Amino acid sequence: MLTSTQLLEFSNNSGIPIWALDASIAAVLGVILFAICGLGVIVNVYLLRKTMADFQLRYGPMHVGWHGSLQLIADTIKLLSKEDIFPKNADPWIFRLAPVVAFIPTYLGFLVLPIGKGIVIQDLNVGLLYVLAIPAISVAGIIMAGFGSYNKYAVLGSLRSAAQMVSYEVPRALSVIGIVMIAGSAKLSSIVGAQSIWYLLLQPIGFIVFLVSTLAEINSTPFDLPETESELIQGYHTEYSGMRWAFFFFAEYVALLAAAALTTVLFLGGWHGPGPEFLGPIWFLIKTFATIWVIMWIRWTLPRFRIDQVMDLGWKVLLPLALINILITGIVMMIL
Amino acid sequence: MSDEIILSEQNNGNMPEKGTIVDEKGLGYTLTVDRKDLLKAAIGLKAAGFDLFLFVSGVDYPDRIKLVYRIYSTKRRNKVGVIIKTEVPKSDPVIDSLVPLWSAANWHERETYDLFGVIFKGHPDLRRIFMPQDWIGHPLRKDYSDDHMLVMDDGIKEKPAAKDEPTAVHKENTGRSDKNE
Amino acid sequence: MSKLEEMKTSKEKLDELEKEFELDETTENNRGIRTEELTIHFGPQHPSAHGVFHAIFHVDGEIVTKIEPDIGYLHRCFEKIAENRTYAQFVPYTDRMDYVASMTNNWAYCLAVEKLADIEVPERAEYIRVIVGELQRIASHLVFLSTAGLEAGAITPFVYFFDDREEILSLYEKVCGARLTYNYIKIGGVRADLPDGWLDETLAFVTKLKEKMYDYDRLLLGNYIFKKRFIGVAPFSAEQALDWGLTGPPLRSTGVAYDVRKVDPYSVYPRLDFDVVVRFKGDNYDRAYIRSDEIKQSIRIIEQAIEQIPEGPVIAKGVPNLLTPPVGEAYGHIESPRGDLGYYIVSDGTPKPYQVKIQGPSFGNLQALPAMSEGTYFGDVILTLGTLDPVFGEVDR
Repeated sequence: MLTSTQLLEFSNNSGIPIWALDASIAAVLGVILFAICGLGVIVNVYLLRKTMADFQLRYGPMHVGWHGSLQLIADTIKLLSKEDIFPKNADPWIFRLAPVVAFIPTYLGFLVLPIGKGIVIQDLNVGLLYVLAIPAISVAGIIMAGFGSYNKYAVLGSLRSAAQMVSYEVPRALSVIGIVMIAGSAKLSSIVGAQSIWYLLLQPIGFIVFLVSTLAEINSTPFDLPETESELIQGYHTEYSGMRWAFFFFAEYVALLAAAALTTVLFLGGWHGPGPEFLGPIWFLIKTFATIWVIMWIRWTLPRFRIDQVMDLGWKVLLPLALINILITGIVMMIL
Repeated sequence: MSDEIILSEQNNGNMPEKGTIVDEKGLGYTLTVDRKDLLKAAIGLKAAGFDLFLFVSGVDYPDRIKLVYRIYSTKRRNKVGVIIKTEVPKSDPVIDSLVPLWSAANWHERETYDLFGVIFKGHPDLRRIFMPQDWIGHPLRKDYSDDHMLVMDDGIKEKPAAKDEPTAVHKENTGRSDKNE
Repeated sequence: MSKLEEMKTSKEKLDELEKEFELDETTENNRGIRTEELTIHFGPQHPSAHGVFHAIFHVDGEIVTKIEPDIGYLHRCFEKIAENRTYAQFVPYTDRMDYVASMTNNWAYCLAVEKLADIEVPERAEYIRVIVGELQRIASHLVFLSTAGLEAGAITPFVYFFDDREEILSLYEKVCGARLTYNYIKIGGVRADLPDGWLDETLAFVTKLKEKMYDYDRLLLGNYIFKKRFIGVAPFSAEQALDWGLTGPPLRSTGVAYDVRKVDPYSVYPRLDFDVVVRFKGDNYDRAYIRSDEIKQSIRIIEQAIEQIPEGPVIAKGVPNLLTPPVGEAYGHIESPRGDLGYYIVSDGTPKPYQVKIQGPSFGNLQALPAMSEGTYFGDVILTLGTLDPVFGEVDR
């Protein structure tokens, strides 16, 4: 958007110190991003509940607003006004910090996602690396929640989460190497720019590996082991309630949104679509929510794996598949 | 018909001398044995193919407790269940446990111990199963009273001496529950 | 050195090491890392405790090494209550035992009392009992299938099965006005005759369900992940099952065809043509699948019963409200959805029973849980508990 020289010029002309300008731009962008995230989560959760209801032969929320569209806002107000319950033996700082630590990294992932042509907050040239690495930090928040809340179920849940996230991070990162090879860049905007044909068609194996490990990454069924309600009650956020729990909830859906957006950028052609260029962001949103819908579809259809089966799938199936994908891509590129 | 059920070669003479199986109205085939013969009879029946233990329960009479077992044979061709009846005096409510023969007897015997106070000799883990470990008395006995549980109007819990003091086995076993906590 | 001595010395060595370690622990420079089993209190408040099951799980990583069940949280001592009620007054209490299959509880109790007092039940009442009893079996097994899926993480089938169960409850509502605790079967027959057109509605429902079951089998039991979770987990052989006194579907899943409807026929079951479904592996999958097959058999029974049902009275003549059976004892048992449900009643010639023993199949089945699932994964223990299908109203009584 703004280049640093323009910024410097503006600072010199107006007399506002550069750091203040920098900070205020960051704050404005942060707030806008937060609002977009919030809106995204609201749409997301509404979609989730309505999809779930449709799958299950019922209506879903119907009473607050038109067809229950304001239900989540009502829920949020309720959660924010709830009593803050603090377990007696919990570690005060770890317990309090965990929801924030879990939330911030998922939210930071949006910084590099190009929504339309040129519409991106910071188009890093290692954008792909960034978007894979930074959201993965949120597992630290989950582990903090597990250890901080002094609850055995929470500890088990957070350990499962850590094992699962670390295992699936590997095939997930390897599955996109094929894309980097074809596009010749790790910059997300160049990757989208290079997609005259969707990479879904060029990289079918990579797409499957990426989608499956994304499901594991965002703890969605069939990989929702960290919070299996039938085994671990609620896993790592068993002891959380009210606003702190809402933060975990928010983080979960922001992660879902970010994962779907990343899938769109990498495999579904990002902003590309028929019609003029300014329709780009709309195409982007349609594709993102279509991806979310597919994830929902999987979530409401399948039962969950057992922990050892999850590990088996990650290390024994997905990892070799991702490596084979790189090999095939390399051979094909050499031949062509 | 009645005698055919038991008189097989596998019996090995384990059956008590007096016990004969009669077809009792409302109950089906019933075998009444002395309490010292219970284990013998059970071994004999198990050898004769009675492999499914269904329940044990008691009937409380003023001076004695009648124990009722029901076992069933899935192996025999005529597919019958047998009820074994035996009695223990209330002054000495001890009987052999059938857990070595059927693991299924475990919880059923614990239940009978809990509710009737019958002590099963040789049971691996004879604790109360339904009532709290420190409960006094055995609720299904006719002379059971829970007066000691009453809270008087002034809020002071008056505890008259319980008629039925915890038995020795009971005291011994409560130690375990304390450890758990 | 003999082997025994070798073992002894190695044990002594171990003890020594342990002592050293204990000393070490008190010093400040203790660097030893010690691992120990985690004990988890499962329940009594837990989403999949099936009521109020409390157990202490000893967990080594994800594997449960030891289970110490602790029951009695729902104990109301119905056997004691029965001694203070008349025979007819106790029928509503039986509803509160196995609350997922109340109708069969009514039936088992009434059967025992009828044996005790020598009451002949009219034929139409027997057929009505069979129809409502088999509908109850379908309803109960539908609840089982839905919760089995739910425990494995499949949320959607839960709603489908409950949707069908809801129709059965509506049928029951038309018959007796209640949806959960029916108190419909009474001593000597049933409380009221069927409303007009009820049999046609029932027939339409079971015909529809028969088609749906084909879909359900593929949707839930045929699902790849469901199979992966259930097949081969916590297998039980026929010997083990008999040793632990399992009854009902868990016993039949090991290959033992023990079904009270066949081995000790009651009511009009001898006139109806149905199979006792048996499976052979005795693992979680067989325990789940057998329920689906039993639903199909129940549908068969209902269809035949509707065809054969005669006209006539639905309650035996001359059964007084204050029933006083002669002195004696009686044992009546039926095949409830959970297994062999029996009532042993002793009468002393007064209007109240002298002693009642309720043989709940859930109680017998639940005690096999530690033997069945020790050494399996935490998630599998939950599934195994689910496939035993205990109802805690019946376990604790």
